[in-house]
Amino acid sequence: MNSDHPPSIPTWLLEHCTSGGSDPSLRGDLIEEFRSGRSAAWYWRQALAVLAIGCLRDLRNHRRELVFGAFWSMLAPGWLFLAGVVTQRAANAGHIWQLPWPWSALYSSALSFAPGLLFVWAGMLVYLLPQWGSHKRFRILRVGRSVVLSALVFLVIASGLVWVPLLFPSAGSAVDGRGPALSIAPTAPFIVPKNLGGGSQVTVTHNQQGKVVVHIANRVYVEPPDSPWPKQPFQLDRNAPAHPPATPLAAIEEQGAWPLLTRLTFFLCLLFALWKSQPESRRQRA
Amino acid sequence: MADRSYLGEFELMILLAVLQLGEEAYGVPIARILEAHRGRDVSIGSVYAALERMASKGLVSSSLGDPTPERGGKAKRYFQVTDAGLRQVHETRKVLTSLWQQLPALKRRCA
Repeated sequence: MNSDHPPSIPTWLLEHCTSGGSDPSLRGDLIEEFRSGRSAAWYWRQALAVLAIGCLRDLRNHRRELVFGAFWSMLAPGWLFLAGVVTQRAANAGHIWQLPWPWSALYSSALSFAPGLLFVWAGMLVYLLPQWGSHKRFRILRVGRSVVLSALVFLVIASGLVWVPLLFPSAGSAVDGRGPALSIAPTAPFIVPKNLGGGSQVTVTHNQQGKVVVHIANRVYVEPPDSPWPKQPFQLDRNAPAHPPATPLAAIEEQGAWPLLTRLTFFLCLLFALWKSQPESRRQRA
Repeated sequence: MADRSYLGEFELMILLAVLQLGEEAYGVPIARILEAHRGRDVSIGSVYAALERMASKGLVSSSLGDPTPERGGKAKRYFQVTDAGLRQVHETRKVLTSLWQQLPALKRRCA
């Protein structure tokens, strides 16, 4: 049975999920056909086809951003490797503040996400700088907005990649029957490249004192002394043997699930930012 | 060398449907004609995409009608084939006819 009103979800998608909204006449045609007896399934199919066509058209109009985003995101593991080396050296030299919880978690997260964000913004700068002289295409306000939006998108995706695996203990997060070891999560699986520990198999053992010991590649974290909530972060064992040093180039060449996921994150974030930095007229061009 | 681009199959069908409908050529009847002749569902979105593409080439033009309540207050977009579009249709037909006529083997097989 066909009601007088077309399904609301595809209607909403048509109005909001195509760049500039789909042609109102096209939406009117779909409504007219639906009211003449077409089924809700037909309306859904038509709406999804419109979205797919709009999406393909947008991608065709943003070929340059796609190519540049793919190229730049390929370099991401190398950049994160360098950032990890610098952070680790700063930590070893005692240049990183030791703050009480929860400031320690915030500080740690900021240190973890900052290199990634800088990489995205550097990509934007490299791509947009040649357009500086072209006053028709370059608008400070629009670029500023895309810089802010890129930060939000990056934080959402990166946070998801860091925290979601911890909800699934079998996926390799450090657990000991008492929940995930959240205190080491932000620097373990995603932000630190595989050469420094991220993306490696995480193993959990116990030492002679019965404390939990988490091994992540060449780093070893030991459970802190018992304390009331909030639990203290795991302590890095600085006496752990170090692996042979890798190079940024090796990090760039690295294949595997996490490096690819890292690249995909940067690709999506950069593509979104560059997309938003382009004039509306170009985004809607057929 | 002259810049000549021939119409694709779907574009040609749409132009013929627009010509057939005359002043009543908007999305719904165009899609219905195509469905009737092709015998399968047609995406109105793909019809609009093809028409937009042809409009950017100057083969069709469009104008808006009045909004009507049965269409949710949305106006119809009427399409017309331009002179350039009509020339393109004739040119494509000429080429296709010429190609078809030079298929003796196919003629014998069909006979």
